[in-house]
Amino acid sequence: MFSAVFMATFAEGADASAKEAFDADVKASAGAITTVNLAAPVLEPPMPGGDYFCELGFKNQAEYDQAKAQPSWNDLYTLFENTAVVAGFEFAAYGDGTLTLQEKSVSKCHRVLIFSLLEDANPDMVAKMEANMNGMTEHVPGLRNCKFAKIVESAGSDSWAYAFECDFDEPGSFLGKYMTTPYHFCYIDKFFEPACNEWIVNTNLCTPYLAQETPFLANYAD
Amino acid sequence: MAVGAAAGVASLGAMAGCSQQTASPPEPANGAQATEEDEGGQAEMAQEEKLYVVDTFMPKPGDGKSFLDDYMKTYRPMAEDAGMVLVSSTVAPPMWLDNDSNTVQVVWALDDIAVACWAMSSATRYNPAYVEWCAAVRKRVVSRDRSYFASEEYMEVLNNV
Repeated sequence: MFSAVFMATFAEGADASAKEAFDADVKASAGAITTVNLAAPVLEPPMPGGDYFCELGFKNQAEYDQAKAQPSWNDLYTLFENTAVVAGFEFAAYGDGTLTLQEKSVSKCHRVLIFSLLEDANPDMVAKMEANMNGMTEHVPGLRNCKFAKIVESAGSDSWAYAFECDFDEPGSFLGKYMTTPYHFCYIDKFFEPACNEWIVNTNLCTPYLAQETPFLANYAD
Repeated sequence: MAVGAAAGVASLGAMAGCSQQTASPPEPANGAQATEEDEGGQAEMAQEEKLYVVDTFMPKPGDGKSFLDDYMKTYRPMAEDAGMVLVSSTVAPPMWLDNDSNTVQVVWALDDIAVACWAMSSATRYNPAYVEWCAAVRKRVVSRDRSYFASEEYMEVLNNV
């Protein structure tokens, strides 16, 4: 699957009705592009990465490129460029990566982490991170699916490098076991911590999460 | 207004607060009422229920004392403001070397992973001064390592939350 993800922050002056209208418009526009889409406000408590999330899924990058050439893509993109409602947004597009797929039917929480690398990121550490991120599923039973992929297109406040996409059984698994397992803070997070020798990730990451009913990563799965 | 990635990150600490450790300390082996000896043992157990953050540096030859002074002057306040408790600061060999590198080790304690650790990281890594200092240290020292330690008994708790 090839994904295109928007992470938007609402403008200060956007009231509830404007946000609701935005949500409806984005859902409609996303649906006009592909039936594989997930668009909604993020859940509380919020994580860095804005107030609203939209992901489009395509069978492959060729389908994504075809979609981008259509007027419907411009209709969607324009919604995120409306500064009366959206103060700013991050965009990332990525394809296949390291996929762990354990659940194809039920998932109540979707989350996408995007981050960029330090300019002088140690290649050995990058390789180590690539090899170990998906190990989170072995320590967090509620993390049912995940994919770690290189971002091929990005826009916004940084040149986003990687996406770590997750389907949880429920939000409580993300807020709970995912955060408390020593594998996260004491091992994986070392790539993200400036005081660690393993540090390779810029601190301005985005990691919104939202509700869903079915696991997004199971789309297009065999 | 902070937008996107620059938006408020205190929520990481708040988010971490949504989770709670449910494991309780083990009962005394014989189930007897607490005695002075038991209370000492339980105090020892409580002390072991910490996450220890161990920073080990090898400054360049002759830079040992200057580096440690800078660490204590610049890094220590940021770490303490973020909730870290200084446990020890040691140097090997126990003399400042001019023509070789000392090894400097600083040990901190945090109460738990669920709240204290993530609150610490939220309070530090989004502070430009903290990031700048860490980036400078990367270039200043021959090597550095930060690792997180816990007692074997606490491992049982941490891995079964």
